[in-house]
Parts: sequence; C-alpha cells; structure tokens
Amino acid sequence: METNKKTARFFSKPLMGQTIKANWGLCVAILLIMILLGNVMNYAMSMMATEKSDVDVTEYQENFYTCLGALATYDTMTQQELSYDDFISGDNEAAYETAFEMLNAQADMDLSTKGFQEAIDGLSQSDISLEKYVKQFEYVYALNQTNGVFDKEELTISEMLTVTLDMMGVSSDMVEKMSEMNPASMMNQMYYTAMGLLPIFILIVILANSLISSQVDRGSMAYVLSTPTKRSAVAITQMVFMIIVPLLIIAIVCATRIGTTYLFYDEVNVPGILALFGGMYILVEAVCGLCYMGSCIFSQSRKSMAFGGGLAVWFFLASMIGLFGSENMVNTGMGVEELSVFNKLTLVGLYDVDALSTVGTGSVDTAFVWKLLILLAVAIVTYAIGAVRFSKKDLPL
Amino acid sequence: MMSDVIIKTNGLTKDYGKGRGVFDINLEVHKGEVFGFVGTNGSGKTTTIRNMMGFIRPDSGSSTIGGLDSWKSSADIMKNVSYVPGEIAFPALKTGTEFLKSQAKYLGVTDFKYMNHIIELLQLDPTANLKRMSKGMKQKTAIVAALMGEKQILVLDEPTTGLDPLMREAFLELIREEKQKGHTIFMSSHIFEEIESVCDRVAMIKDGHLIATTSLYDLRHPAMKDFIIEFEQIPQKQQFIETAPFSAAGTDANTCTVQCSVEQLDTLFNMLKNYQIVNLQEIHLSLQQQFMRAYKEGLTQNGNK
Repeated sequence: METNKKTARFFSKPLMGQTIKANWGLCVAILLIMILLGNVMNYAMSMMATEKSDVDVTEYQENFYTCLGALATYDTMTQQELSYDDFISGDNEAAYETAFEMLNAQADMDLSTKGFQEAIDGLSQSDISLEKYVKQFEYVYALNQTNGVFDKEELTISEMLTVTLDMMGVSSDMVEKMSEMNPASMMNQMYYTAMGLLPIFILIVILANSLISSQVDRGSMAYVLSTPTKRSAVAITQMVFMIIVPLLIIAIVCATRIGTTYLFYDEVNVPGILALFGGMYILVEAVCGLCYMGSCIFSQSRKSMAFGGGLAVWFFLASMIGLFGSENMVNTGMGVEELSVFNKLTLVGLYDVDALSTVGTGSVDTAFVWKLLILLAVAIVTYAIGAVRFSKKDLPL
Repeated sequence: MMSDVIIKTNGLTKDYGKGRGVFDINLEVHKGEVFGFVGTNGSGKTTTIRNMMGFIRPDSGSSTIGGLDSWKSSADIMKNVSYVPGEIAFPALKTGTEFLKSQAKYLGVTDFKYMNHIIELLQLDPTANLKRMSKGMKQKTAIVAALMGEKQILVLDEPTTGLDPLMREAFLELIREEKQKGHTIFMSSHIFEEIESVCDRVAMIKDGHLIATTSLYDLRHPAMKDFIIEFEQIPQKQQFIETAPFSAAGTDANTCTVQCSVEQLDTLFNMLKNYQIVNLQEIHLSLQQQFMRAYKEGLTQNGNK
C-alpha cells in the first residue's frame, strides 16, 4: 500500500523548483534596478567628493594676503604698480625682490619672492581660483583703509556678508551650517534608508504574497498539499526562498558597489560597505518576516497584500519623512528637526547608517549593534509565527 | 489494516455559523468501493472533502483515511490518496507539461506510462499554456495530475465539471478502470446520471446534514418491483385487482399499478396470460427520484427552507 516516496517534512525540492521558476524573472529585474541605482549613486557621490577638495589652505591664504598687503603698501609708497598678475607673468622678478627686501628692512618682516611663490602654489591646490583670492583681498584691503562713518568701528568682510544675507532674508546661521554639511553622509542616508530600499521592498511584498497567501487563495496550494508534503515543509521551503533571495540580491549589489568604488575612489573602506549592506540585509529580512507572517496568517491574497504592502509603504514613507528631520537636512534648511520623530516609527529607523559607515574607520560607533539585534529578533519571531500559523490553520483548498 | 473501511468520518462537524458548514457527518467507504457524494451547491460536499484531506480542522468529530487521522497525519495520508480539487487553479507555471512534470516530482512518479495512458484516454494536449486552457482542459489536466500517482484512494471533488459528454464518458471509463484495480474512489457530484452509472453507494447531503446513504445495487436490483399495467377493458382490470395475490391498485380508467416481490414475478406473468394487455411498464426509480424523495423528507424533517 505504501509508495516509495518519503513524506517531505522540512523541505520540498519540487516546491523550491516551482517557486524559483515562477519568480526568477521578477527577482532579476529588481536586482538590475538595484545595481543600477546603487552604482549611479556611487558615481554621483564620487563626483561630489572630487569637487570639494578638503586640502587645508588657510596658512597659504594668510601668507598670500600678507604678501599682497605688503605689495599694496609698497605700491602706494613708491608709486609703482606691482601686483599678483604682474608677478606671475614673471618678467619683472628683480623689482619684487627689491620691494620685499625694502619692506623686510622697514617692518621687520620675512618676505621673499620664494615665499610668495610658495603661497601661490599652495593656494592653487584649492578649488577656488587665485583670481578670486585676489579679488577678495581687494575688498579686505579696501575695508581696512577706513572705519565706519558713524560708529567708527572696524569694517570686516564677514560682517558685510552677514548683513547682506540678512537683508536678503537668509539666515546667516544656515549658511554657516551649510558649509559644515556633510554631503556624503546625506547621500548615504538617502541611498541606504530610502532609494536603495524601495525596489527590494517591492520585491519582498510581492514575493511574500505570491509564495503563500496567493496560492492558498487561488487554490493552487492544493496540488502541493495533496502530495506527501507536510505543511511545515511548504512553510520552511518558502521561508528559505525569502531568506536567500534578498541575501543574493544584496550581496551582488554590494559586490558591484565595492567594485565601482575602487573605480571612482582612491581608497576604499571595504568593511564599511560590507557593514552597510549587511545591515540593510537584516533590515530587509525583518520586513520580509513581517510580510511572510501576513501571508501565512491571511488566506485571502488581498488582505495579505494590504498587510505586507501597507507596512512596507509605511516604513518607506516614514523613513523618507524622517530623512527631512535628519541633521543634514535640517542644516540645509530643507528639514525640520521635529520630523525626526518619524525615524522612531519605522523599522528603517533601526538601521543606523551613520554608525554603520564608521565600521572600518578609526572610531567605530557601535550604536548600530543593538538596533540590528532588534531587527534580527523581529525577523526570527515573525518567521516563526508565520510558519506555525500556516501549519495549524484551516486552508480553503 | 484490520477492517476494510478506508475512509471513515465520525460525527464530523465544521460549523461556519449561520447554518453553514457540515454537521455530524458519518460516512464509511469500504475498500474497492466507488462512493458517490451528491448534494446541491453549497450543501457541504467540499467542506466534507476538505476535512477528509486534512486541509481544515473539524470542530468536533473526526475523519480518518486508512486508519490515520486526516488532520494530524495529512501528509502521510497523501501517500495513498490522490485529490482533484473542486476549484482548479494551477501554480504559476507555463505549460501543462511543466506542471505535470513538477507534480510527478512531488509524487515521486518516475514511470510515465500510466500518465500517458490517461492523457491519451482524455485526449489532452498538455503542451498548451496553462493560463489559456479552457475549463475542460484545465479539468483534464487536474485529473491527469491526480491520477498519475496510481494511488489506492482517489478523492475527487466534482471531477467532471467542464467536461463535454464524450469526455465525461471517457472519464467514467477511467473510474471503472480504477475500480477494477481495486482502488477506492470517493467522488462528489451533482450530476446524478454519472453517479448512478459508476458508483456502488451514494450518500446525499443537504444543508450540511447527511440525509441518506443508498446502495445503488439496491436501486438497480430492488426486492420489490413496481409495474403499470394497462388493460383493454375495465372489467378485466377489476377482476385482476381482486384476484391478484399482491398489492394492486387501480389508477385511472383501465390501468392499475402493481407492486410485487421478485419471487412473485412468475405468478404475475402467468396471471397476465389470461388478460388482454395494452401496455406493461416497469416503474424504475432513478437516483434522482430517490434523491428528490429523500430531499423532500429531509425538508419536512428539518422544517427549514
């Protein structure tokens, strides 16, 4: 009476085959979108980084202005027309040597054409052209010549700028913060907590629904369960699929990201990138677990879709809004600090991008650890509840 | 197995509220039997079958197949059971062939001889796209998918839905083949003719209650037979009624109805030799009539609707 086929208790190979056949197209499409998104973002960030060089030129600027100031004094004294433009044309070097020697003697300074040249070379490392520095010096010099007509106080460039901005209705505080803003951190935040998550959220919502709930609702699950396949085998097989697919997708995206980072940057913080994508995987699995649980609990496809999709959309939206409450956004004037409350209302808020990106650097911020542990717990609990529920409920097949 | 009871439900109850569900269903299907399960739409046929397959948990009572509890050991039961669901919805695969192959893997079927035999018998083209199949083709595919396992027990939920009369006949032939092999078959249907032509016993369900279980052998070979006899002349009829040793009653003008046991048939025909008879007709009680009768009795008993 017994056939030789053993009862599948924990895993069903044919079901896995069927699940892969039915879903690989969607998975590949989402993978391509994620690769594209991740690497374009990476490219954009690398562009931003090269535009803003972080070479410190303050010292050179100081020396440069001292030389220019000395030249200006010398010009007025001796009725000559020595200037930066004239100096770099290079056919009058002797005149400058004389000028500097004379000034050194007069004011006990240590000026030389060599020093001047060094200052020029140093300043040219910055992204701002030397003409701009010369122009700024003109203002500084001019304002130094005189005091305020009424209050007799010193006139400075920075004060003039503040007043001008205030007149235009722009808070000078903001401008200051804006210069302190870290665009790399903002872009990271944007990619890892919003844009990068959207495609994979869509994928897992659809997958979770089609793997269990939709098959029960449509009745096609009957063909699996009318074979010697235990419900636990169905639940576990589909769970394995939902654990492995995001892992593969995120691993591939991570690999391409590391690859393009080598292409765009000189130095690569591989552990940092690995930590960011590892964290993303745990976050995705937590959401995945919730969707899976919904799919197992509800026998009607639309209810499971509403549950999983609703949660995923909420997490995404709340994290988007929360982004406008982040320090970076507030600093640019595009956000309000109060909006950061939303980060506490979404699982994405437990994915601490700033802390994770410190991995592999000198000062690691371990704040991300407990947050990821919570996400991991959410994933484990929801997967377990879903599998148990599916094994025990009535199925309309 | 100790007894030859293969499928057994014992006080099976699943209450969905508002009078829906099945209540106190007691069934016994014996080995090698073709058991029909008839009832109107929504009477609880599918609910009973879902309980038997272990898809839903009964509120009370139990269902066993081959001695194993349907709910607790569903997967083990499936080693010996093939199931054709009432609602056909295939997995998201491309063609019928792909589906049948995947189904063969679940069932551990490696020898496709029997599958090809059924495909031929039902004239199915399995290479067609699953989604574009007509209802009949889907039904055929589902039948092939279930039967290819050559299991001892078949549970079929309205298996002939969507089949044309020719295919229905081919399907019934398949059922007879299965019966010949000694397999036990449980099929639900609302088409009396097909139940009548293949089943050994029939249970009728109405509003979740079993109202009758009939052996079709009894139906085909009744102990008592009814006849309508039409005489040429009324006096002859009167004379016949008076002298007949079995119950006879006059109806209109020159006809009468006679009920006699099979043993009395000889006497009846000997008697009739002396009369001028215009018409002699046996009243055959079809399953449908029997069902209608039981159904009406059920109505008066339950007193609802």
